[in-house]
Amino acid sequence: MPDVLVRTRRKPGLILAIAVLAFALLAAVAPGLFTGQDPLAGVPAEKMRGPSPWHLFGTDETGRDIFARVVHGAALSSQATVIAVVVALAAGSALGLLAGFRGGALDSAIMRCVDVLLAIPSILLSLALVTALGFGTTNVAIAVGVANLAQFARLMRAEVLRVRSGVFVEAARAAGVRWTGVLGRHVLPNALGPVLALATLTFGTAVLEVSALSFLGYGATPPTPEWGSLVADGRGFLATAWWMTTFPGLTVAAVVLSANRLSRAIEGDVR
Amino acid sequence: MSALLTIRDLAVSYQTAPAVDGVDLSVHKGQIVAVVGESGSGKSTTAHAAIGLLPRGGRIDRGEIVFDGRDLTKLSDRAWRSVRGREIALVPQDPTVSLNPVHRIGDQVAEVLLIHGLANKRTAGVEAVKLLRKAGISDPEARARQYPHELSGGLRQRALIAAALAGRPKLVIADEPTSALDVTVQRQILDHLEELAADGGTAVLLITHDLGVASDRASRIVVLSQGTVVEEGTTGELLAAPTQKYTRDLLFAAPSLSDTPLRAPKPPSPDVLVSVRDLGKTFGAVRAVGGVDGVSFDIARGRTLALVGESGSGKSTTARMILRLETPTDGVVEFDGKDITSLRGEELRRLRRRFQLVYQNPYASLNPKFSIEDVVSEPLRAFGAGTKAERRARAAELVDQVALPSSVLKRKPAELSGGQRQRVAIARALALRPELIVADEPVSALDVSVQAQILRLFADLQDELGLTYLFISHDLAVVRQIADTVGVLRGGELVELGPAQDVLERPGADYTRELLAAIPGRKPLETR
Amino acid sequence: MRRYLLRRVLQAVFVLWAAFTVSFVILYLLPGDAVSAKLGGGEAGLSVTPEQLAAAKAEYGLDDPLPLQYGKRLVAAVQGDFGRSIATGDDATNMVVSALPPTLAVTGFALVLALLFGGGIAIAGTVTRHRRLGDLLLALPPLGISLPPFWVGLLLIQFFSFQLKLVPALGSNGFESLILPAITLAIPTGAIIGQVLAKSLRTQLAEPYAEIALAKGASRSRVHFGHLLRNAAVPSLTIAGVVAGNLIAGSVITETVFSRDGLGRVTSSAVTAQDIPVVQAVIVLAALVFVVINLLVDLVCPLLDPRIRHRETADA
Repeated sequence: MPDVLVRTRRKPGLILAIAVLAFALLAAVAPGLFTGQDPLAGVPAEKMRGPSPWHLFGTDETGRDIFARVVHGAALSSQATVIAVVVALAAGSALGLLAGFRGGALDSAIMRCVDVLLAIPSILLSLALVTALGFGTTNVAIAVGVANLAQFARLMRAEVLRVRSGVFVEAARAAGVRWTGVLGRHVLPNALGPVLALATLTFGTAVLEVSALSFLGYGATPPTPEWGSLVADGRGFLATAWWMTTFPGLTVAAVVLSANRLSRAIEGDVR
Repeated sequence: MSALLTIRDLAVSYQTAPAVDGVDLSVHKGQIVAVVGESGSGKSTTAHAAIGLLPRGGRIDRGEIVFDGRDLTKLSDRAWRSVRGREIALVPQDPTVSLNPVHRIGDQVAEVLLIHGLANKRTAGVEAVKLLRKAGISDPEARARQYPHELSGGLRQRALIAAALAGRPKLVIADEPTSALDVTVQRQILDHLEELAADGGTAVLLITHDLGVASDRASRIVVLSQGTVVEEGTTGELLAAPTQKYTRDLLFAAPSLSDTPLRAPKPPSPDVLVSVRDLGKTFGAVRAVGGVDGVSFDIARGRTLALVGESGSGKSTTARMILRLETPTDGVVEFDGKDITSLRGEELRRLRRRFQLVYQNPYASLNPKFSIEDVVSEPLRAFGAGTKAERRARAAELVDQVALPSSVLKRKPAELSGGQRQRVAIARALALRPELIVADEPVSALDVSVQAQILRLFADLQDELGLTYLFISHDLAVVRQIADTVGVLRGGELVELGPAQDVLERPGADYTRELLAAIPGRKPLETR
Repeated sequence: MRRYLLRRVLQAVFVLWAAFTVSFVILYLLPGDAVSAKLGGGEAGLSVTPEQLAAAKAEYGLDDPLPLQYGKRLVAAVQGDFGRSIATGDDATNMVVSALPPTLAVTGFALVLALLFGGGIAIAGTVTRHRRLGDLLLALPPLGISLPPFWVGLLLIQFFSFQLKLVPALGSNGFESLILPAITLAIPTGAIIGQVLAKSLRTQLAEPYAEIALAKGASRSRVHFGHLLRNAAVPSLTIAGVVAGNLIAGSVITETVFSRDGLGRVTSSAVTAQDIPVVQAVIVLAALVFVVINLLVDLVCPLLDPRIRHRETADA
């Protein structure tokens, strides 16, 4: 991790990316830090106002401050995304580790199942899970997590295989180290880097998928704000209040871009 | 007569790090000039600058490269396209990756003709076949229709030479053209290159790390070190009376050129530590490359047995079977009188204390995330030997034994040089005080000057600790330095086995004679 | 060679079966009761007698023991029958198939745009000698992947339909209505294509044979088009199936944003209504598309790379 900080010295883009991600995560736990306005109750007198110093992102049709809604929406969106990434990372990595380490029939069996998950586009898989489990942010999060675990399984397996066949691993075995020692001290620490890079990248794609599902209406019930549903809310007012769709969408884009940027930095560090 | 190529005060850097800093050399028409240097000497950079193909980030800072009256450093991209392939050509190092895998051989040779308008679509194919034949490829019509993966390394290199000479260039730059090939093939390829060059009056700039190759083939030698010319002159002068210390050191260290082994070979002894009988290994149903068939030998305690062979001869497989990293399909392996052929599991693991392995590649055999102290003490940890403090003390002891300063203990492998890493690998092998050390090509990935030091270290350790060695190598010259007994493997079979002096001076098998003859640097100095 | 193809076809059949099974497990096994929802049970308060519920369930075959349900549905699915929609009562397969043409129109157009722009950017970005231009071009795909498609679609409507009044915002009529949805779909797809192709091209550019080609006197464009592209194509084609899947999935969003008819609309309605047979039919269709595209790629790869061709014939 310290290496990443060293690299930020000459890279303003990376610093910006980390700042945006920090904002998203911080807003999720302490929205009060960023806004004092109420995301749920609007002031009718101020409805449909464009961006201004008092309302950074403007107001919506019932007078609610959109910036406040975005900030509070960060909570649900980030939560869902973090759950999704944790599900994908934990389940996927465990499967990949098992497949790569044991090899043989178990490996083939696990990888066939993982291949099937790749055959179904993740949004459709998420939709199926939502169909079965019902709407709501948590269900959306689990759905997105399951849909993305295939990539982690593949990566972890590939890394385990790569390290396992490495000369220094065999050298350890030849020196008398047991398999558990090899796994814990050699294989895992070397495989972790790329997995971390993928986890960061998945944070970005998960944000996209979570907000897409909430845009379609399968996320939290209104009036709870969520980035995707905020964009959907603004749909009816596209011609008259462009800020209602623009800013929430911009927030999503910014978070995804930042996650991508950070992921590339971690990957570069690992190589 | 003015030179064909004159390089004056050339300086090249990558980003800000200088690779070449003031190099002068010249090549005359029909001459073969060798540029000799170790890794980091700048020889490859100089060669690439001369054909205008510096990698990304490389810049010519100053100097001129005058070819046939023109300064190449001032050439535009467009102009370079008419020089490359037509006036100056390149023969690369690794034929496995230098041919486009999806194009046929014939097409890749014909391409040169098409680019420079030397033939049209109809005639290019026929010309290409002629060129392949001239390059020594038999049945060239059939070969021309094949793809690179269907040819052996030697044939691929011939195809690359054919492509290089297709445009009848005035100068051929050969960048380590044989280092990726087996030693017997090397000789053929170099013979051929020499012939073709003499035939067409083509000048050759031969880049090599091997002073033996340089002395065999070139009439002038330029010695580079750290981006500057250390010494240059005719081959005869340089070899007989080098003026610079670096050149003298290089000459002395080059195993193919020095005739005296590090120490006299020891006489045979009846006290046998390792014994193999009729050892065999088949991969899959068919006897594949690297398999072993019916190999038998003994290694006496405190002695060094060297197994020599080219790639695919089975020497590595044999060593791995002795260490039980592979299971033999036939035969018996005995260690200190005990049959360990089918030993497995915990029993085998415990036995590992007594034999250890030193790998070829010092870059891959150390975990990049470990500190040197961790690397060296890992075998101790694996067997629960000693407390943390005792292990740390032992690590310091080991590092000292291989002549490394104690400051390396805190460093990571990436911070060490190749030679230093190999010393660390040796230290790790010594940690558990084994009786047998198997060294698989332990010096082939190292620079020549470093090779000599590591071989010396091996010899010293054997004297100090009474170690027994199994040395694997493709390089008879290296083997000559350190072996007591030599075994020659070919295609998985042991074709010769005997005391080092006998095998190397009075070889019984034809193959051994072939191998010996192929060692570069054996041509007597008088004929140069 | 025939063994290679046979193996691939068997794998494809396995994937289809597995997709069916996975969707069965998710949809029929998990809690959530579509029939009750349809009949107004649950929060709406409209009471339904247990007999009515049982009768409705029997009608949809939901009262059989699960293994039996699975068996019956599998047999039916192999014949193309996914049951009847719980929401509308129409044949599920029919609903899905008849919704295809408008979706295909948009995705087809989007694919062409994606290939042109994604591929074009990748090639232009790697062939150019101007480092800055190359870097700029190659920075576009990561940007494209990051933009939420539903947002981009709305922005495009806002700008091109409302402000510039160039194209219609909604509806499925005419060629003009295809343009914005296709662009919206093409952006993330083109970005993926661009990224993968650029990476492959860069890898090939670093290979020694590229340098040898230059050493022969070839121009950069000759090296790119004559040498690199074919070598870069094979690893790039491996994402073809994923791209197809993305296009289908993306149409769920674009058809909602642009109020178009098509597969996406059918899917989102089915999800909202918890209409299981239809959702299952869509999933198996998506898997089918993925599998067929991959088979086609497997057919093409040996043609492009002689090493694959020879390896597979050697096996057989």
